[in-house]
Amino acid sequence: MLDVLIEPLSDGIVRRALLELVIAGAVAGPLGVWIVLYGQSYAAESISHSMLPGLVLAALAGIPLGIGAAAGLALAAACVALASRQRAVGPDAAVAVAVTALVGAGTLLALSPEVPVRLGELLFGDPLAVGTSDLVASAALALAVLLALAGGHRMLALSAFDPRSARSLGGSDPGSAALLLGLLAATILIAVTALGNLLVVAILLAPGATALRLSARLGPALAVGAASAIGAGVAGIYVSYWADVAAGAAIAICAIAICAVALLPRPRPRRGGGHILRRWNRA
Amino acid sequence: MRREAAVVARGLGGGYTAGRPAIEGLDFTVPAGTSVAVLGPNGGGKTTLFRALLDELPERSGTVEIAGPVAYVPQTERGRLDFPVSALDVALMGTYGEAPWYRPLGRERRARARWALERVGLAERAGDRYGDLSGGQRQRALIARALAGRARVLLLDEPFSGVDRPSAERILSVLGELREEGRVVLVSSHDIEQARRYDAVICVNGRQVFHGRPDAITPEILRRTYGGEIVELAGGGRAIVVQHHDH
Repeated sequence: MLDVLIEPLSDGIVRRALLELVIAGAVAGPLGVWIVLYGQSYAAESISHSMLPGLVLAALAGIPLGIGAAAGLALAAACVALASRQRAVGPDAAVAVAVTALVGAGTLLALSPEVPVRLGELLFGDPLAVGTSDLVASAALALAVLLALAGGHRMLALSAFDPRSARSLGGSDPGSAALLLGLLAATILIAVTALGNLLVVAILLAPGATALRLSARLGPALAVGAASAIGAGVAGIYVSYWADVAAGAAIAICAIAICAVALLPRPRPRRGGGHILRRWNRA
Repeated sequence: MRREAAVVARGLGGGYTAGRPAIEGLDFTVPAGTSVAVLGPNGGGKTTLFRALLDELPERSGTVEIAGPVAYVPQTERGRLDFPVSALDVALMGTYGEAPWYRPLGRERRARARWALERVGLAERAGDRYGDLSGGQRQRALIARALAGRARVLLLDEPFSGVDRPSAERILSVLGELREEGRVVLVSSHDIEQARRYDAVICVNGRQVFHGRPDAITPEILRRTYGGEIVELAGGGRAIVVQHHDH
């Protein structure tokens, strides 16, 4: 049994992939909790999908994908922000049109014969292709995101819980929204190499939903979010290694599976009883 | 006994878009240790008045002087019940604005949040999830949040809507105690009968229709405040408001 866990670790590629997913999960899980609490799941999905043109253009120009992803995210965030202000057709429809247009433009570009990488890698990622320099960049960015999450914790909590009172309590609604959008872009940037622009939301939103289902308090929810995102990443890599399936897709399926288990109806806890999360939440 | 003025509004007006004030020409003085009911129809400017006192309106005219920290206590009906916080966490939020983000909350502020919960009779529910509390208990947790923030002036937005009668009485007795301590309590309400239990009443319908003692309110003042929403009950001059909710 132990061999199942140890054998893959002898491969440097697998070790780097695992490290990358631990870093990405530690950030994506807690941020996912905030995204779900703010009701921004659709915006998160839209922004991550619509950065495709940036990724493809970076591949065409032969520059690092991270730079293309950053430019693509800026364009996507601007388009989604503009579309969400559309009152004539409604924000949902306008965002859907903007996302489809950007994904379509990215696909058209990706089908040109000059593109050196396969479209599949941009869409679904490849954790096993993560190099040491990617790891260093991810770790630095992840540290910045975690510091910003810690620093902005009270402001985010005030606005998410009670936006009408946030300002009088020292918070800021526009500040919280901007912080969340910035951290979302940075987190997608961290995880996109491993998971591609279609699957990146899986380790963001599924752990967020899992954590909020299992936790009655914010602190434990953020911790459960990180644990389930890291767990999904690590489990996915092992599944991919032993079942010989695509790693990105395996990670996404693990994240969804963990969420599905968390969403199962729970037995009613015994009086004064024993559910470990219940005790933790009340501590 | 002459009491110090805690809230002074002079020619207060304002709204959400330039050139279209939702309220205008409000003049009133509220001494410390006073409870005030703010009566008015839906859309009459009760919440806008509170926003003006908090200096949160995009457009504001006139002047406001407020002695001491002011806190807004929203309707619990509009709050989120799925948010993962305990009653104590909610009370602690009242202290968030006091220190920079990098400084931990500290023992003193935690103790103050616990004291605030005790003050509103929720000490034993401190660890309970906010969404699991009853409507009246949630309202008291939000009052505790204001007290934890050392508020001297509390602006309560329809605190009795969606709250059963015993809980409403409990909230009223807490508000009475806060008034005794010298705090100012402004309560927006639809309940004309309940308004008689406050020290003063301000009637707002875009403009200030009335400001004075509750026993000075006449049917004519109520008609000017509520227009078609008022219904007089036969005998004793009692009146109720028929609410036309638009939210």
